[in-house]
Amino acid sequence: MQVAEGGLVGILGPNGSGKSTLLRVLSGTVKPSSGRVTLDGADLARQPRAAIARRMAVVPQETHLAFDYTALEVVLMGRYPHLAAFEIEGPEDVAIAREALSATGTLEFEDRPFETLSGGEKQRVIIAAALAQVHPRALDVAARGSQLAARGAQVAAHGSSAEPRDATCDPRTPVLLLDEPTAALDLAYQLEVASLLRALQEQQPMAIVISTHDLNFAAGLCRSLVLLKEGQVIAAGATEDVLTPDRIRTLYGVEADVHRHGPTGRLVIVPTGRSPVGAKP
Amino acid sequence: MTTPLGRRLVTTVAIFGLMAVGAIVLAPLVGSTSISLGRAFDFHVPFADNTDAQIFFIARLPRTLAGALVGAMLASAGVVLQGLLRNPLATPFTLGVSAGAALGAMLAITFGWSFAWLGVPAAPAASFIGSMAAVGVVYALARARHRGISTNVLLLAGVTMNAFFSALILFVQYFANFAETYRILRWLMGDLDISSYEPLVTALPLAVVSLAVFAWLARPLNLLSLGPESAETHGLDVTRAQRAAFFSASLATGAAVSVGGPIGFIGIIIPHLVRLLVGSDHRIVLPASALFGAAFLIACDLVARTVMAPIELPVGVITALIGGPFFLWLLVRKR
Amino acid sequence: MTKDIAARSSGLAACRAEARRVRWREGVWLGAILLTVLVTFVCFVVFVLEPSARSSERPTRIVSLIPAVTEMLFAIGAGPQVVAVSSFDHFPPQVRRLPSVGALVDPDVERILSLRPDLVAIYGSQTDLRTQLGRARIPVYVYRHAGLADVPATIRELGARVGHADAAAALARGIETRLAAIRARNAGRPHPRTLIVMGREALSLRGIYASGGVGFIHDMVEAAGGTNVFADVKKEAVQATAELILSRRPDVIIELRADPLSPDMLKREMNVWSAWNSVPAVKNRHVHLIADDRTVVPGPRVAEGVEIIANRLDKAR
Repeated sequence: MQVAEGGLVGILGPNGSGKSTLLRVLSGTVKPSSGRVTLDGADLARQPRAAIARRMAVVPQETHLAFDYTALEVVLMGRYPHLAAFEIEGPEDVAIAREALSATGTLEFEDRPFETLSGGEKQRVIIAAALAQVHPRALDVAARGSQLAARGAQVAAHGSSAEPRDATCDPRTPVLLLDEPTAALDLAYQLEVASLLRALQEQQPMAIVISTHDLNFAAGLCRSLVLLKEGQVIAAGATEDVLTPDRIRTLYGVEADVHRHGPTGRLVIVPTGRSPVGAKP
Repeated sequence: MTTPLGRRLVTTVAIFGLMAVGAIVLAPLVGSTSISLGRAFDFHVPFADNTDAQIFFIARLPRTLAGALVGAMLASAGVVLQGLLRNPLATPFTLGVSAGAALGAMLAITFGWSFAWLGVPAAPAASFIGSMAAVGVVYALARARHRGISTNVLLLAGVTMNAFFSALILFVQYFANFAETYRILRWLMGDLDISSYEPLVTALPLAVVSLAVFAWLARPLNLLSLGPESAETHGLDVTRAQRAAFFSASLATGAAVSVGGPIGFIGIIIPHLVRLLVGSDHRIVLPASALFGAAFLIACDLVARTVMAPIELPVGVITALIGGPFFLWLLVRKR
Repeated sequence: MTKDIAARSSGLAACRAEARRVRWREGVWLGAILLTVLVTFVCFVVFVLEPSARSSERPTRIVSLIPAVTEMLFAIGAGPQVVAVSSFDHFPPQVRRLPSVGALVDPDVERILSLRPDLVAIYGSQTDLRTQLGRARIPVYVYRHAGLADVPATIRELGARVGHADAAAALARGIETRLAAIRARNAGRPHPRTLIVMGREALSLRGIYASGGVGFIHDMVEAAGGTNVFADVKKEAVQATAELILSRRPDVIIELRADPLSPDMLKREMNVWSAWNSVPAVKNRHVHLIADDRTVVPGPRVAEGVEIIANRLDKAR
């Protein structure tokens, strides 16, 4: 059973290793065949969908709309779990939506049809929708302010140093799950999304889980990693502990050098060639 | 821009509502024969002696109201099915409802059934039962392999049903004589001349139920357009919404077809026109489509019954003559 | 050919042999000529003489796809010559024992051919069937559905074709006389405005399908002394809406049905009209449901059908 803590966790693995499935299990879309997923210590399967949706949002790899909605309308859809059956979004909801759009730098597109945006812009709008989805209402915040339930999620092996907002047990910490957020994007947009996620993480406490097969993206962004191969977790922990040439060989069958990039301090992986067949994993 | 949606909703409903009410009020005033309205509304003359009144209240008014009901049902059912199947080219007849209805009506006409079911005469009753049977089969097929509903399987099952029922229809055709065949053909082309209020009274509860479910479905349909998985992570009970959409749209379509026959193109022209005018938010598109559909069908029926007087064209011909070119234009202009 | 009668003492045998050879050769030639003549004769008979021979005699194996034609055949005495009828035939009662071969849309060609007919009565629109029968060299009688006046004409034509010309002429004359008598009877009297309903939905006033100003049913009602309210519509069938009927205000409504109704159903069906009680026919109770196939089949009993309608119209004068 996998639980992620407040921070940036990456699920890394080759195609077919089960990353998307794991993400689906975490979001509650797929029921695990054994074990269970808990959110704030409560079993995910027992909670109503709307309640989960208020805490956890998923950013899929690609979003194709059947009809023409504007970017603002798409983000406002994120407010669905906060509204009653026939309730219409109020000024507060609209304000939250626009705030989310500006947080992702897409406020200028609010009245543009979603399908006319570029790939990167679309992803950012969807991230804004996810932010709007997990943004509590003012009333809810006041009501829960006194609760001190256990924090969002924990990883099997803790990342040591880099959890600046780990201090308080804050039950309102939203969870963001992103499924291959950069797979369909150009390099520029990949960097955009990466810096956005980093900025978000610094601005507010949030648990972010990203699934990806891109080594450098994961290494540059995530503080802790879970390595998946063929549906099995082969390692989990802080990025620098987990991302070793041996592990990379096991995961991808590739020889690689792992360096630290001077100016940014991020890990950089340089593949050097395919591993010989039969090399010891 | 504080509550743009609220204000837009009110404005849209007001405009389209005015259109619909205007159509309902004005259409009975026009017809293939000229009548004196003064005499029609002269309540001193006994109704049995007042031809003008009978033409207005028996021939024209029920027909106009039927046009409103059928137009509203078909247009809004079209919107809901397009949302369910995530495809703007879906129509209320895509999933086999009209084929089942046609088979039911044909059997009643060909074999001269003359039972009255709950006060409903044979052909409309048989058409409704036929449409519900088709819906049941399609649903059973779509559920066969999944716990939820797969819209792809739904679509395939609907297409298969249409083909199968069409074959049965051709088979029944052989047992029909000239008069019956003529009447069947006319039924298939749509006929709003109900000449009494009973069909409306029996269809009204079905219409009310469907419209109530549609109102609830408006926001779920918005979410469904993100894709069923995304909709689920937004907190929507996807299976329940899909089931509600499928059954309510089928109920509305079945009721509409049992009143006026399978009138085509309303279920696809109106949603598209409305989306072009008001955007894609289903909370606005649904009421606007229902109201615009009512007005549009009343107008088509007006044309059908006056353009070649005293001969009357089937209303389905008029909707097809308008709808066909519109549909082609839609296909050509998209992407 | 000269016979060589000079007998040479040493060549007599050879001479006889020679003679035999010559006779043999002549025989062959003679045989060949005879054979050619025979074959030509047979071909002539089979392909040229036979067919016209067949059609000039009275046909003994008639197949009729048209109920009206069947009735006519039986009425002129050609009943014994009929071997098969259409699937819609039920008069006279003898036809129920005969095999049926389909009708307008679904003629069973195989069945027809298997009966080895020498005359098949088909509809004018059955062009495919006509081609197939032509290829099988089966003569056809092409029936065209038209007005009342064509009924006696058709009877006469059929009579000539099947060898009962005299009986046919008598029957046709009888029909014409009877019709003329009915017309004469109504000559000076008012002709009530009549709506002729040929079909509608059961127990409802929807889908009313009425006779226009063209065709045999319109002719019948006009002959019976009525005026068709849709005489101005130059079509055989009119889809009559409520507005149309209410505005035309017929004095009499006649509903023609092929199948009879039980008394209970009859009453219910007639009651359905009471919703439109501003129509004079409804107000004055001049709504008649006639379930008699004499009124819908343009056959030999057509004068009786007109008589029936005329009687109903009489009540409304």
